Amino acid sequence: MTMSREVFVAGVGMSRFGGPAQSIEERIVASGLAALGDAGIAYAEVQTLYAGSAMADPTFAVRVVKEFGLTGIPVVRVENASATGAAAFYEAVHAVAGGRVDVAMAIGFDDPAAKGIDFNNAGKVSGISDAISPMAFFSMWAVRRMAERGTSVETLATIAAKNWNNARHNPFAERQADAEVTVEQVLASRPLSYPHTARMAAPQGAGAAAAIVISREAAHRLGVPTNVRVSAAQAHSERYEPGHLFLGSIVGPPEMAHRGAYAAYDEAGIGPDELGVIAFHDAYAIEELLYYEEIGLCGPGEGDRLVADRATEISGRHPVSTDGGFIGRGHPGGPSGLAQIWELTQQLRGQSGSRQVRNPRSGLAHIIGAGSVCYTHILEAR
Amino acid sequence: MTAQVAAESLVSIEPEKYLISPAGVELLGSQSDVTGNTFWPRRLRCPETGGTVHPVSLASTGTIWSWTLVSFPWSGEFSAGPETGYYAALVDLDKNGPRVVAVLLQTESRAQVGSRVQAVPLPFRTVDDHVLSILAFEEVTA
Repeated sequence: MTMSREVFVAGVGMSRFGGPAQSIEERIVASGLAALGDAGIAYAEVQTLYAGSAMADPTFAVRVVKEFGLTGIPVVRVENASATGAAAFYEAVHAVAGGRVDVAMAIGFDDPAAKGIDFNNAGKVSGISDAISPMAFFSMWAVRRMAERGTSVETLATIAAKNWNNARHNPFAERQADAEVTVEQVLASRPLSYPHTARMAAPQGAGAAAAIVISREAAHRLGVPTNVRVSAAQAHSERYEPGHLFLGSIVGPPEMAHRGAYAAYDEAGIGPDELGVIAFHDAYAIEELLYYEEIGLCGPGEGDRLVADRATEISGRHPVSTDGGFIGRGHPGGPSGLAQIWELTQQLRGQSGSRQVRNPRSGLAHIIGAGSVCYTHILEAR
Repeated sequence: MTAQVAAESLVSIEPEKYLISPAGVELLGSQSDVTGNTFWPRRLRCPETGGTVHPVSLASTGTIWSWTLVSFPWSGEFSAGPETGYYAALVDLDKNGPRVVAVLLQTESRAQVGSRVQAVPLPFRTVDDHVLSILAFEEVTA
């Protein structure tokens, strides 16, 4: 799907992921008000709202957004696993792009601990699907990669250390290390699922994030800057290929990242070398390594060299996970995709402080949900 | 890791996906009437073409595509099984079969990517007189 008219990011907001005890309702309201404040508009201007949660009870989303006001607009709950926030953003973008509304809001939130979600495989096992932890599937990607390409555990630890250290410059990141995190510290942390250690995996504290998108006409009318344009909004699901898994549907084929990115490049009219900032679904370090290659930052098998060359650091030629990514910033579920939009928007505006990339013109956000869906957005500085 | 129980008392915890009998483990799959490709677990329709499928028994042997060691104990109601962690594997079944996921019962030889394995039951919970078992693979050593 392509956009028939221009859409701009009017405002973004988020609460710190994890961090001090705060109710999910407070996080939702704080992130939504932050986005409205960033846009400089009142909630009364919002014409439709997509509320994304991967874990909330069925009616929770429509109840909690009443805190913003009862203005009579369409409110739709969105759920697409880890990609929920990106799905809400995608729907908001296309609601504006298609001309149905001029101002749309996407908000995502989740509190995995409050829901009793334990991705470490707690509970009564009733079969293979819940016997094998989701993390095992990502780790089996890593073991396969090590066997095929000779990737080292140190390469995975280097990616994770980068993201931990990027998070040190993001006040909204869940992980706030007191001092620089070393590769050795990552390797020495608690084993999770070989070859991943605890510091190579995303934390899952609570969080909320929001974004408001707007048409050019409404931006002009409301005095909202049009300095960040949504130049691509793509959604895909799996295609069958040999080796496809139909059980344990947490991890789909990395091929979706390739397809999503190249569809987004076509829509935006740019190539991977023009991306100044990149956000991935990097819940585990192996994902980031594989996605380098899938979205075309380098050729097949060349991701390890990209890491060795420090090309994906903030000062490198392909800055990835500048806010800490899932590993550093955190991955509550519903808000994760919107936190990516928050980071890209801040970077493209030049508002990222000590983690600011040098003059990025375009940024890409990639996220998967349940291994079965993939959202890819490209934002462009204007 | 495997509890010593009589083979006659073992039953599959998910008989719609695999059956367990004294003769061994039978994986229940589907085969596309259009492409001939096989899938596991059983599908209602062919995921490639949307066409019809028919039920087939899949090979119970295969080759490890990848594996991992999960460093957490299983939780829940277990009468047998790993206490501090468990191996899992993705296995490409023989006879051009599908890739399946299961517990991997490691032996001293340490199965690796490319190792040959066969399906075996892993008993882990007793209900009445039955020992519920889950799908596992172990290396073929012969």
